[in-house]
Amino acid sequence: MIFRKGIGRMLCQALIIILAQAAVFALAGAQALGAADLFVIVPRELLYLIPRGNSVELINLATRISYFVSCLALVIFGALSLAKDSADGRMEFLLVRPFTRMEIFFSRMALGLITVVISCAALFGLWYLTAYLVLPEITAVEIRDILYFSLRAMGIKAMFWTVSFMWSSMCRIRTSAVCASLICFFGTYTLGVFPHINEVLSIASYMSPFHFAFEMALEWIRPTIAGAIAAISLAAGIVAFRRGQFYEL
Amino acid sequence: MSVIEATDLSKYYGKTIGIVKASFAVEEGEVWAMLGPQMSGKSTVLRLICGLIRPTYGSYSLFNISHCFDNRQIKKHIGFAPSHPCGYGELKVRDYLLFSARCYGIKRRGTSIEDAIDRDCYYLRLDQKQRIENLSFSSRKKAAIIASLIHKPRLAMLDEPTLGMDSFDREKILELMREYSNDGTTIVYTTRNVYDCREFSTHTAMMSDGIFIGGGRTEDIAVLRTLHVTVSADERNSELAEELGIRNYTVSDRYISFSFTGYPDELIAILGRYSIKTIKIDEPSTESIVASAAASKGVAV
Repeated sequence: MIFRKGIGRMLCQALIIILAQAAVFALAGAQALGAADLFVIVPRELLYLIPRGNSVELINLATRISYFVSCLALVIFGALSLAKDSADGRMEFLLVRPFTRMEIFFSRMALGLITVVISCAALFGLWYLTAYLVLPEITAVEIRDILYFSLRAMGIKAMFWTVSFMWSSMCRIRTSAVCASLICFFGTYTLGVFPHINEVLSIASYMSPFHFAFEMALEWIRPTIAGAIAAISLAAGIVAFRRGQFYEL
Repeated sequence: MSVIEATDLSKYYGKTIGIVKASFAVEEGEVWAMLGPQMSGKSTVLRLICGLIRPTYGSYSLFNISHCFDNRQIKKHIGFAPSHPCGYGELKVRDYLLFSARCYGIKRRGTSIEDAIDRDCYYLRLDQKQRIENLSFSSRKKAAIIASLIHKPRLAMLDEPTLGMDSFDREKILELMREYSNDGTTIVYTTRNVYDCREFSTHTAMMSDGIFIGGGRTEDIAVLRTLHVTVSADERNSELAEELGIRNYTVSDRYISFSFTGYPDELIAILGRYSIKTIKIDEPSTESIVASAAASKGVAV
C-alpha cells in the first residue's frame, strides 16, 4: 500500500534524473557532432571549454558529469524521502494506521533503490545511444567496460543513497537531512586529496566518486568499503526510525 | 473490557516535562475528555497511546495487550486525528478519505464506505472535490476527524477536535462523535473547552503542566459546573450572597460577582426570589477550573 502510493513520486524522481543525464549527453553529443551551437540556452563561452574533435574524451567527460549529477540528485532525494514525509505530516498519518515502522522504512527504501537502478540503467542507455551516434567504430570491449562502470556506479550510488536515507530517518527537518547528506557526499570527494598529501593515505581516494583510475588488483576495496558504509548506515537508519519520536513540531 | 490502561505513564522531552506518572483506565464505550490549558500534556497522552512517541517511564496496554507499541493488529482498531492535520495535500478530500479507509483494509467496492464518506462530509459541510492543501484549517481538521472515524475503530483518539471551529461546526463535530460513540467506538479526546466536556464526555480527566489532577465521571466533578455570575439585586446584594453561601464575592456599585458551583436550576431557584435587574453568566476559563481542581485536591501545579 505504502509502496504503491510512493511509485508516482519515485517515477518523478527517476524522470528528473534521466532528464538531467540526457541533457548532459545531448550537449556532449551535439558538441561532438559540431551542432552544439543549437543549444542556445548554454552560454557559448561554456561550450568553448569543452574539447572539440575528441569524441571519446567528450563522452567520457559527459559520463562523469552525468554520474555526478545523478549522484547529487539521488543524495537529495534520499535525504528527502523520510524527512519530507515527517515534516509535512504524512509520516504521522501512516504511523497511526496499520503499518509497522519497518514496513514504512523498507517500502521507502525499496522505492529509492529502484530509482538508483533506473538512474544507472539510464546512464548506460544514454552512453550507448550517444556513442552509437557519435562513435560508429565503438567496440564490444568498450561496451563491456561502460556496462561494468555502470554497475560499479550503481553500488556507489546505492551507498550514497543509503547514507542520505539514514540522515532522512534521523532528521525531521528537511534542510537538516539534506545538509547532512550533502556534507557526507562532498566530504567523500575531498578524500581524493589525501594521496597527494601522503601516499599511505591513498586508500582514502577509493571512496572518492571521481577517482576512477586505480589498480585492478585493489578492485575489491571500493565495493567492500561501500558495502560496509551502506550496511552501517542502514542499521543506524533502522534504529533511528524505530526509536523516532513524532511529537508536534 | 478495559480499552486503555496506563500505569505511571511519564514522558520527558529532554528536561521538559511532557506528562508525569499518569495512571488511568478507559473502559469500552466511554467518552473521555482530557481537559487542560495549552502545554498541559494532553496531546502527549494521545501520542503516547497511539504509538507516535515512546514513554520515558511507565507502561500502558490497549485492549488488554501490553506490547502494543507499533503493533499492526492494535493499530487496525485505532483512529487518530492530530490537532494540526497535514500531509497528502495533493489529494482531494474524497481520495484522502478513501485512501485512509484503504489503509485499514476497507475495499472501495462492495462496501458502504462511499456512503459513509458522503454522509459525514455532508454532515460537516465538507466539499469532497477540494484538494486538502486548499482547505482552511478547520476543514482540514474535519477531514482528519472523518478519516480517523470512517473505519469505525474501537478506539478513536481526537486531538482538540473542536479547536478553531465556530459554534455551528463545534456542535456538528460533537454530534458526529456522539454518533460513532453510540455505535460502540470508545472516544478519547483533548479539549480546552469546559463546555465540550460537560455536554459530551462521560468522563473527564484534568491536566496541568503534565500532571494528572484528577478524573472521573463528568457529572461527579463539581468544579466543571462552575459558573461566573454577575447580578444586580439592588439593596439585597449582601442578602443574596449570604443565601448562596458565597464567601468570596466582589461588590462594585450595584453589582455582585461570584463563582457558583452547582446546577443552573439551583441558581435560578434562588435568584427567582429576588428582584434581579441584570444578570450575566460566563463560562470560567479552563485555567481557573483546573487551578480550582488542583487546589481542592492539594496538587501543586
